[in-house]
Amino acid sequence: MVLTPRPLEERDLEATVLRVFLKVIDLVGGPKALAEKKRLTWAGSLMTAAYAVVLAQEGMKGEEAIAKELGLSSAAVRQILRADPEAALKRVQELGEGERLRTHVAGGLAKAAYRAIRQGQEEPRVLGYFLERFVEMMGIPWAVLVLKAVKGLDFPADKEALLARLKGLRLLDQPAEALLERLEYPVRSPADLLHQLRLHLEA
Amino acid sequence: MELSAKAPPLEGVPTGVKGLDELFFTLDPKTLKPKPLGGFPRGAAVHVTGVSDTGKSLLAEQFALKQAERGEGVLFVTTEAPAPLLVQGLKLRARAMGLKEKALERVLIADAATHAVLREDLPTLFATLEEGLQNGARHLVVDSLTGLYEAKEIAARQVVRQVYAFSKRFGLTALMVSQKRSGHEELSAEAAGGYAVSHILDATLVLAKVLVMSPALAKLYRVGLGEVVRLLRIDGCRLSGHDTRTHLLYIRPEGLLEVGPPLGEH
Repeated sequence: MVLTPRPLEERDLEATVLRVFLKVIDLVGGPKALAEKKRLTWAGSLMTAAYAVVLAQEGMKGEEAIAKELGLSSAAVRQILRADPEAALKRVQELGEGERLRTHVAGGLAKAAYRAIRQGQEEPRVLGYFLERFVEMMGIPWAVLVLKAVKGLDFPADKEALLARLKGLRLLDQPAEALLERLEYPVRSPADLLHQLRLHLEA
Repeated sequence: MELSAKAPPLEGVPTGVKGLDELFFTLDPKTLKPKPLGGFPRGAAVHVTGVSDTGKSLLAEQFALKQAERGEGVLFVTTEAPAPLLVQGLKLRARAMGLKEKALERVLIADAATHAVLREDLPTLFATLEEGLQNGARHLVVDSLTGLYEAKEIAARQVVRQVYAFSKRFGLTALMVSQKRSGHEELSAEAAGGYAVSHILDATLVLAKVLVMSPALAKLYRVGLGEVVRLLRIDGCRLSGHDTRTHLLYIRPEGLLEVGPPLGEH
C-alpha cells in the first residue's frame, strides 16, 4: 500500500505561532503590563519573531527560506534564531517606555515562549477561558468546579498553592485534598491539572 | 523504578536474513553467558551503510518482508526506487522467501522518490508516516537516509536526529540505509554526512565488497580471480551485545542476502 503524502497544513503552524505570540505577552507581564508601558508597538516585531521561530522549529526551514517567506533579510532571521531567551527576558525589564524592541530581544522572547508552550505552559488566560467554556459545554461539573477555584492562579503550581484553592471541594465524592496528594508536581497548567485529576478519578 | 518500568524488554526482531539474527546477543539470566537475541534489539534504530551493490537495499527489503510475514506492519520510506519498482522487487523477494503476496499489504510505502515534498519537508514526511502508524505499523525502513539530505549533507545530523526521534516516539524498530562516499574507508561506519549517522543511531552494520584481482586475495577468500566477495561487520550496538568479527556475505542466486561464516573460519 502506498501512503498519500499529507502536507502539514499551514493553519497548524499558524495556530502554534499564535500560541507563541500569546505566551510572549504572558511572559512580559500580561496584556495590562504591556498596555500600561505603551509597549504595544512591539506587536509586529513579536509576531514576526514568533513566526520565524515556529517555521524553524516546526517547519524545519532554514534561514534563507524563512527570510523569503516573511520578507526579512537573512541577517534579521539569524538574529532572531540565535537570540538568547534569558538575556531577552532580562532586557525587557530594563526597556524604557516606548522603546523599540530590537530583533534579538523579540527573538529571545519568542524562543522562551516556544520553549514554555512545548513544556505545556500555555498562555493561561485564553486557554483558561476556552477550557471553562469547553467543560461547561461537555457537562463535566467537577472540572467546572476545579477551573473556577484555580482561576487567576499562576502556573506551574505546587501542591500548597493548589491546596489553598481546592481545599474543601469534593470531586465525584472524593475529597480534593486526597486527590492532590497523588498528583505530579509542579502542575504545568490548568489543562494538566484536569488531566491528572481525571486519571485519578477514573482509577 | 519508573524508568525501569518504561524500558522496553530486550527481545530480538528477526531480520529476515539467514545468519544475521545470531550475531546479536543477550545474557542468559542463569548462566550469565551470551545467548543469541534472535534479531535486532526491539526498538533499535539500525544503520546499514556500504558502497553500491553490497546488499543494503536487499537487507532493507528482507527485513520489511520478514515483519510483514510475522503480521507486523512496516513503514517503508523509499527515496531511491519509486514505489512501483520497489513493489516489483518486494514481490520477487517475497516469492524467494516463500511469502504469500498478501503479506505485502502490511508494507506501507511512503514514496519519497516520486514525491519530492516527502524528501525535502520532514514534517510532511512524518505526518504521512503517522497516517501509516494508524494502520498498526511497528517498524520503519528508510532506504535511504542519504536521500533525505542529498545536496545538504551539512544538515545530515539534524535530519537524522529528527528521524531517530520519530522512530523512538512511536517505539518503532528501524532500519535506515545510508550511502558511502568514494573517499570513505569501506569497512568503517563512516557514511554520507560523516560519522553523524552512526553516532546517533543505535547500531551500525557495514557492508563491503572486494573485487578479487590478485592471487593473494583469491587465496585469502578461497575464490577465483575476478570474483566479488561481500563482507558484513557490526560496528557497535548500544542496545545489546553483538558479534565483532567480519563475516562473509552472500547474495544467493534467488536474490536473497545471507550471512556466512567469519573470515578465518570459512
